[in-house]
Amino acid sequence: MAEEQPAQDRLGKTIFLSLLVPGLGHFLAGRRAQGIAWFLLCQALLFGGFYLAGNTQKDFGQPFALFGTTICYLLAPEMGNFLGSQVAAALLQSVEVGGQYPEALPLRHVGYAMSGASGVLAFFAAAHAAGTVLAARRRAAGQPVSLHPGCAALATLLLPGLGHRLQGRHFKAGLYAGSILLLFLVGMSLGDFADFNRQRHPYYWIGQMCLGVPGWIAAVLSPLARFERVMPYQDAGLLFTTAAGMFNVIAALDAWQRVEGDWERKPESASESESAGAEARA
Amino acid sequence: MSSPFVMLLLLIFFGTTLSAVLSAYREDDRRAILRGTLRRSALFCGAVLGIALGAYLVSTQILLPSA
Repeated sequence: MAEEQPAQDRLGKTIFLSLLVPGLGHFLAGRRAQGIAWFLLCQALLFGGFYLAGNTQKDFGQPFALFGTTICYLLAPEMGNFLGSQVAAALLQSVEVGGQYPEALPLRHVGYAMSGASGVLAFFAAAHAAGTVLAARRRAAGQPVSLHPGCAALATLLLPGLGHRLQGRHFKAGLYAGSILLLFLVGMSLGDFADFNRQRHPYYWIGQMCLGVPGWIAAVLSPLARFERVMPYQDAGLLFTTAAGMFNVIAALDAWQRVEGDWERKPESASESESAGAEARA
Repeated sequence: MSSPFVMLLLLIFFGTTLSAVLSAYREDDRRAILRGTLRRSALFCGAVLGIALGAYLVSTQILLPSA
């Protein structure tokens, strides 16, 4: 118990630092190359996205003040990359302030997708960093680590269900992938494949972005589509696509906790642990 | 215009997806997930239809009885 407390503190510190600056948690865990890669990826996406969208991301957020003092700038999902988003909000000015319409920026939706992806990725960077710490602790105890929880969660961001597939949970992988992607596809079709648009639905867009890579691709392509007719179930479509993004977060949490569960269940020897894992997956 | 039949289909589809994700999160066994999906989707759809029916009755019988 006395040994567990510093380990928990270290885990908490890793998550906190990762949420502050993506990659910092990896640094703390001794994974410097990974830390630099996470930092560069998240900041490049964030600032590249701001550049392409003429900093109009700021129009979707607002400053949060307490007793007349601005504490931070609320901007979701970019806030996942907290320090980066605060620096961007403090230094950059939306082109709309200068009288320019965002419509004049042809790549603004690519910019929105990039900066939004940066925020979502930063959250998963924290999960990955925490998984790295847990895996290091397990290795130090002489136990095998084939997949750590952070990797499983991160794989879900790549494709819903992928994290479970990597664990050998094929049924759950298929169920998550099938239900989430089908829900997203049906939702998009109800909105004529044009309803993934930050300018039209900024709040729904936050949830839609949680779908991960398939959602980010849709965020780039969808604004190219136009409504050709009145859509009777457009609201249902928005609900479906946003819920699909939220469900993907649930799938990622499940991918994380199943790996942890396997670790707790697994006995000392590697051969025994394999059979315990297989039992759980059956 | 929207049709009640399509709305019912959308409700069942959404309820089933929601239940599948929730059951997969709660359980790790294939049978338990399938059983949970059926039970939860029936519960969800039943609850939504019940609330819809209640709202309809309140609307037609109490709030706007002459409409």
